[in-house]
Amino acid sequence: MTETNPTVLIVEDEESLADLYAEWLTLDGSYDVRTAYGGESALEQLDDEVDVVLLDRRMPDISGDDVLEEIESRGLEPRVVMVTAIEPDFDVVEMGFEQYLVKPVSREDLLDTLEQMQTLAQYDEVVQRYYQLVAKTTTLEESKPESELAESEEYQELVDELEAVREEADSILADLSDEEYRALF
Amino acid sequence: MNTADAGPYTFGDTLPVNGVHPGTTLFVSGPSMSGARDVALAMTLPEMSADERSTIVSTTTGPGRLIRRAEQLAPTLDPSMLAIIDGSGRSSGDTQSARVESVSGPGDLTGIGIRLSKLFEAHHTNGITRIRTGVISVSTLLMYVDVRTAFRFLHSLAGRIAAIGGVGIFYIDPTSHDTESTNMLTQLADGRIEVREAEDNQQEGELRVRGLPDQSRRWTPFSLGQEVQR
Repeated sequence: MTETNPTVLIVEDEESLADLYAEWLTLDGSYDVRTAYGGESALEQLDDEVDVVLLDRRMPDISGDDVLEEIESRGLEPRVVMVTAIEPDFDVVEMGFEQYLVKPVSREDLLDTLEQMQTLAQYDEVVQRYYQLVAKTTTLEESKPESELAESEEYQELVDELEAVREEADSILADLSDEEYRALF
Repeated sequence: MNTADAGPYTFGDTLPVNGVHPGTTLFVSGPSMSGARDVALAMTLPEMSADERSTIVSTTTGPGRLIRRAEQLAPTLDPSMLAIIDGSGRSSGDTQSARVESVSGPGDLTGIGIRLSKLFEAHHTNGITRIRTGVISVSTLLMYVDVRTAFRFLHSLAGRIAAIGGVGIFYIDPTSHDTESTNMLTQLADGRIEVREAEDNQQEGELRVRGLPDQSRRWTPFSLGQEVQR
């Protein structure tokens, strides 16, 4: 795993608020921060290096919903935290964002939520590796007789690694809160 | 969560499958002709005397029909103990006292996942600890999403079932996929119940249990006490 900081794109048309969020994240020291004072600027700064988008829903030029749509149509897969003025209805919870925050957003809420996004990203990464290892071992098991597999060092290493990754994936999952678990989907 | 004092989940007198520990997820695999789907449904239904609840993710059968079938398999069933997450797109029919939540289709894993997690949370709030969850069927999911996506979804579901001390039953029809997909997905579960048609008696099927201790690994005939739906 690489140890670079995750990149967060803050999208907020109230400039002072955007700057405040940016300051909180910069002071925390665990994030690379980009700031966009509107939807248009957000679309310019969006690329595959952005891990999390903190997205204000109501903006005058391009709305958060439209930015979200553009993210999807570009095939980008950042985790999106929608910032809303009011608690959204159940149906919007299923739009393509992982979490929402209701204004006013406190420093603690923001940092907690971003940490949560990191946990989910970590789960995705581990489950991806788990999937790849399962695919490899399954292919081997289908193409080679058991006697040959038993003697194969490569296969044994694969099985051991698979077991370790499985445990890691399970333990991340076991530690998730209800809210985090819901955000997995 | 404290599950140490909870007894095993049992599967009635009609199926030759011993009870399993809370937290277990099982795959039931077999062609639909073999009655495997009914086996999966019967195993997912709540044991009324243990104050259990069940949630069934139904991908092809409409809720009304599913409940009717469930009542045939378990005549003492109280439908209000049942929640159905319906992705079948069929008309709901008479859903009686069951709770029915619709999602946009079998591929709507986000909708299914969110509804499942909300139900788990509600049970937790209400102090209900005996929870069965069925996905009938995984084969339909695979017509809408790729194996990788289904893998992640089922892993997160099995993991949550383990965490809450529930039991998970995932049905797959291995004749509708390549062996590799089936084998990869079934590795996510603790065990696998294989179902096949019996050679002599058309009314019954046979099953065997793989990957679980204290279970018969030999093909054993079963009868669900009802004519198997074909």
